[in-house]
Amino acid sequence: MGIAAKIRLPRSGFTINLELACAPGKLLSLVGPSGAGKTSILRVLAGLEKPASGHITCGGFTWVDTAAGVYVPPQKRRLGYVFQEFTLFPHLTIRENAAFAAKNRHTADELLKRLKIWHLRDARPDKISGGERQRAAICQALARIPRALLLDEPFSALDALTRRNLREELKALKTELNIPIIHVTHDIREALYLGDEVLPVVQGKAAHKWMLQFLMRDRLSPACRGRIDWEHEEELYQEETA
Amino acid sequence: MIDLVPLYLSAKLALVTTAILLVIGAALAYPLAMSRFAGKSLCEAFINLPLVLPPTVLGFFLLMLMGPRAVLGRAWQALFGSGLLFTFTALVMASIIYSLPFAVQPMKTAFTRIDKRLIENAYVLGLSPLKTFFRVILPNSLGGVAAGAILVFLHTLGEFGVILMVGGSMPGETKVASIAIYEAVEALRYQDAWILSALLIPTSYIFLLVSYRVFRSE
Repeated sequence: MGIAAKIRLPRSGFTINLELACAPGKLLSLVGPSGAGKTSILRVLAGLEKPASGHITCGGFTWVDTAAGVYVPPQKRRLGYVFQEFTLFPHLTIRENAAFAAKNRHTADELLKRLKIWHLRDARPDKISGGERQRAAICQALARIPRALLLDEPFSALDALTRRNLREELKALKTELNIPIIHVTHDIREALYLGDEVLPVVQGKAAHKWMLQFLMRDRLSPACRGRIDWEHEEELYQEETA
Repeated sequence: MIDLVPLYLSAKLALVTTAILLVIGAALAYPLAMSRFAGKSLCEAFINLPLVLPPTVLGFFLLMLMGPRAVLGRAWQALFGSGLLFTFTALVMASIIYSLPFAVQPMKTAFTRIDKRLIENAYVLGLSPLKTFFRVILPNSLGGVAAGAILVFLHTLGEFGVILMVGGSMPGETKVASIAIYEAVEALRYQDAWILSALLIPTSYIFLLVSYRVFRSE
C-alpha cells in the first residue's frame, strides 16, 4: 500500500488544495515554480505542518484525518525526509549521522557502502562536498527503513555533474526500495526523468495545460516573453482550475 | 595567618549557583529561543531585571521575602525548622536570581542560532522534543552553555550587595571573599585585603579569557 493524501492548507496569497497518491516502488514528482507550495505539501505529509483539512494514509496507517480528529506526529510516521538544504547533524560523523535513527548500525553501514561514501564515514559533514552530504542525508533517511521517502529539491544545491550522478543512483535505488517516493523539484526535466508520475503544482493546486508555460516563464528570452500576455494566461488558468 | 575560608565559600557558592543555573537557565532559555507566546517580552524583561537593578534593591526585596515573618521565610521555617535568612542556602537563592540573566542570555543566543531544520529532521527521524534537546540542540550549543556557565561563575564570585543583604557576614557560613575584603579594609587590615583581592583577580581573568575564547569560536 502506498501513500494517499488530500490536503487543504491556506498559505499567504493562495490555498493549497491537492490530492495525490503514490504506490510502493513508484516515484511521484511534484513539479512547479518556486513558491507554488510544493515544500509545504511535503511538510504536511511529514507532519511538520498541520493541514486545515484533509486526510493522509500511508501503508495502511491513517496519519491525518481532520474529520475524525486523527493526527499522527512526525515522530510516529516513520518516513524518510531529505531536505532541500543540508540537514546532517554537524556534531556527528557521517557514520553517526547515518545511524542516527537506524534500526541497526549494520543497515546504516550498508547504505553508506551502497551510496559510495563509506570511505567518508569518520568525516564531519562540513568536511565533505555537497553531493556527498546529500548522499549521507539519503542514507540517514533510509537507514530508518521508512514507510515512504520524501525528497525536497534534493539536487538543487549541487553542480550539474554531481546532480546527474545522483539522479542515476536515485533511479536505481527506487526499484530496490519498494516504498512510495515523493519528489519535489522546480526542474521539469528532472521531474520527467525521475518521476513515474509527474504532478505539476501551481499555487498549491494541480495544474494542467498551462503548467509548462508557467514553468518556462522565467527561462523564456525577453523577446519571446514580451509576446505572451501572462496576465491573460493566468486568468485562463485560474478559470480552468476554479 | 590569613583566613582562607571566605575564598572557599565564594568558590562553593559560585559552583553551586552555576550547577543549578545550568538547569534553570536552559529550561528558561529554550522556550524563549524557540517559541512565540503571549507575554514573552514581559518574561524576558523580568529575567533581565537584575542586570539593571542596584544589587542593594534586589537584596532588600529578598531580605523582606526571606525574613522570619515573610512568606518565604515562614514557609522555610515550617518545612525545615530553621530560619532561612543569613544562611548559605539564602546566598544560593539570591545568587540564582541575581545571576539568572547571565545564564539565560548566552544560552538563548546559542539555541536561537540552531538551524530549525535540524530540529525538524530530528523529529522526522523519530526523536521526541526532549531527546532532540539532548541529542541535537545541546551538543550544538555547547559554546553558549559554557559561556553562560563561566559568566555565572564569575558574576557569583564578584557578588557583594545582594549577599550582604541576605547573608550578612557569618564566618564559615555566609562570609564570602568579597565581604571579607570589605571587612578587612574597614578594619584597616590592608594586607589581608591585598592577598584576597590578588587571589581573585587572576582567577576571574582566566575564566573571562576562556569565556571570550568560547564566544569567539562560536
